[in-house]
Amino acid sequence: MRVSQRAINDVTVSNLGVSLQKMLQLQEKISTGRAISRPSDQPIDFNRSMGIRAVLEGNAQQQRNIEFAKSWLSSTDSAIQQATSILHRARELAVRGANDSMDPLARQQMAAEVRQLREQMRVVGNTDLGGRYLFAGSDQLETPYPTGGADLNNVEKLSFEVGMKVTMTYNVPGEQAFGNTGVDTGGNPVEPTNAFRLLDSLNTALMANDGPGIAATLGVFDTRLEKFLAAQAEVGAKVNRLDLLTDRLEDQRVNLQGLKSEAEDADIATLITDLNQQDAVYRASLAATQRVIQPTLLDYLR
Amino acid sequence: MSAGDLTRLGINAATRGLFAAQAALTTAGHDITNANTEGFSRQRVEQSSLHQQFPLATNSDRVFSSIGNGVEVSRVTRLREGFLDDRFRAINLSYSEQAAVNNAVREIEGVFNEPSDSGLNATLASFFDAWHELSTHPTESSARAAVREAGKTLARALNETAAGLSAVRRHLDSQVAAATDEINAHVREIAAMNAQIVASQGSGISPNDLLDARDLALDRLSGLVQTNLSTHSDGSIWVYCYGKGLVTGVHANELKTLPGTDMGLSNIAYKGELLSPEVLGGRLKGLLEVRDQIIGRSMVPDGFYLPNTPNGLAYQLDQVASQLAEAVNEVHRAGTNLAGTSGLDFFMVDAARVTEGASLSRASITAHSIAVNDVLVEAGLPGLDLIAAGGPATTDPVTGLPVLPKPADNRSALLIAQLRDRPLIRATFPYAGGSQEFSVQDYYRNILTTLGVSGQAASRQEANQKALRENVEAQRQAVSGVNLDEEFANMIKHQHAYAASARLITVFDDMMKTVVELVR
Repeated sequence: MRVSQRAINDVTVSNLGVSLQKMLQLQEKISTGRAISRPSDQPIDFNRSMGIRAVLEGNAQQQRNIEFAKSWLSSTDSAIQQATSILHRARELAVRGANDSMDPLARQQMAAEVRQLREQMRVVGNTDLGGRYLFAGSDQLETPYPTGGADLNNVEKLSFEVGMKVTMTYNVPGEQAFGNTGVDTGGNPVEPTNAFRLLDSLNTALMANDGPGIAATLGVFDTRLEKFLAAQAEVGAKVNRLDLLTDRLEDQRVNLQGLKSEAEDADIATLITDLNQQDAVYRASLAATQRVIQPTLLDYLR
Repeated sequence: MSAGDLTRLGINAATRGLFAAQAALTTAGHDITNANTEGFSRQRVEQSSLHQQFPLATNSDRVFSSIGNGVEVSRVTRLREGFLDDRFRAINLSYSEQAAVNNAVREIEGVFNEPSDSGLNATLASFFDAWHELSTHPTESSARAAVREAGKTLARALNETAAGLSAVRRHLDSQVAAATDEINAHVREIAAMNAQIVASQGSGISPNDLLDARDLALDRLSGLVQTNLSTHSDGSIWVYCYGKGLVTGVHANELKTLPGTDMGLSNIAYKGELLSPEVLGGRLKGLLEVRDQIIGRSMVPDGFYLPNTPNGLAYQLDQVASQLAEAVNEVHRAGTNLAGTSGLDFFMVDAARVTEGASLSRASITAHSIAVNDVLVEAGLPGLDLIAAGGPATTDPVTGLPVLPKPADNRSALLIAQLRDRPLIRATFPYAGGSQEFSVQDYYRNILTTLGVSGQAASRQEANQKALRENVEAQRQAVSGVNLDEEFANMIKHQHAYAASARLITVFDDMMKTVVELVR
């Protein structure tokens, strides 16, 4: 085949161009640290990477949701814990007060403490987290157990997302622990065994020096304590489940990060090796070009 | 036949030798100086020996008549292989098409800028995240403000992406116009050269350099538009594009760009007849395909005057905006806001972004026109309070009166947050098989993957065609290219011939002198 100078030139320039382009691509990958910088680089990896990104973003949000729910639940847990101790103390007083050897004065002193405990119970019932009342159902901006006026007794439960398409309720409506404190249309209490009414009736019995009346509250105390325990157990179970979910989400996150990095990130070691190799090729072709392009017959004629 | 005749014969032959060597040297010079001229074909002087034409008077004349009469330059030919030109042009046609598609796809990818932490995908994620935050903090106005901002950011990102796609379409359109101008320039040039070539061939001259120039123009034309050539006996080449004569003899029939109804983008017409991209081929086809198929038209809800292009990115982006807006709006309308009302949309059509008189209904939301409802954007708290995080109002079973959800009710916020994973858009992707419903983000990544697949295919084919074209070009160069070594060698050869012919004249001169001295 005849070879013309122009053909040598064209082929050389074109090959050098291809070589440089490869180096540019490698350079781009190394400097961005990414194997894919546009969909057409690797459409399938791109699709995978975008899918993983979407799941990772959902994962991060679910972890944030769970963190919020955990702080809410642990506040709820400690509030119920406090309410339980209050009830225990009141029950102790009731046990001592029920003793027939008690004189009226001692019972009145006990009644004063019971009134303090009742007030403390109300404060616990009004525990809030960042201005949101824990036991207010869906009416979190309103005090559930105000000093004057009617209690809220809102029983709505609120949900949040813990995983893809999986929701969970995070709040314990006051009624579930303290009992319904409302009155029906006839003015009678809806749930006579509620915590506040219980303390009130103990107070009344102590003040009235009514031994049997005091003793009668003991059974109610047990019922109420059981309710507190049940509520606390539910909260604890939820926290446990959330801990497990957090672990799982974290595992998933680590896994997905790995997959994402596999799909998206450049393998720097390989790339640098490739770049060195490409660089050697480029230098070699430059050197070859110098030899091929220079000499003509003219150089050897006088 | 006398000795004088013979001497005259010898000097004539020597002179012819000088001329022939000069012609060959000049041609070598022409080749050398044009070694780097694009489209130049090397030329060769064709020499032939001249037979003597003497009246045969005597027997010795018969002997002498076999003495030749020197050399003659019969013609200067151009070394070129028409078959290789045809191959080159055919490959150049598909190379130019794929190169145009590849470049345009890269431009589109620039508009989307994915994968990144700031693209539409991330913006969609932030939008759903914000609703999640509102679902866990429904009473906090900062969570509401975050939802509103995320909504505005998403709407703006969709607006900008749609505008970016329109800009790419316009840019492609200007390239279509430029390519058409270029085609017309070549067509005029070829017609004009046809006229000159016909004239020179009529007078028996081979206009080599003109032929080279015409071939170069045909090479260039071959990438822009599909061409079929027919060579006529008068030397003219007629150029057809799918049977439409662009160059008919010495006449140039130009292509015209006519503004169409779709955004005023150009259509290509030949003598008033519109030509489809398939007919045009080449760079024009690539540009038109990306402009009208890969990007395509924006969604027109009522199928206004042009059919929708459901496989185009513009339409698909509109799907993202409209289907997401519809789903969010549906939940938002049913939900209850802090003002205790419901029925408000979260997204709406931004009247400032659509042409006057266009539909402002919620069904006509597109990526171009989507915006957060004005009412919600109203400065300060009133707007924020109108974001419906709460579920629908219920009816009191006893009184029959509506019961409004309390401020911490988060049912609607949670439902909207959960739209992230809900399949909302029905579509078929070539590699995913069958019609399926996709969540917004899944759909979005799949439309970009489809774009990536087109881009990758175009890029690979461009590289292949480029290699093929280089291969054919090398073959063409092997035939037509100038090899300087060869030319130098020829130069020396002809230089020697010249010197020898000159020497011959001296010899005859000496002979004449001898004869003259004899007489004296």
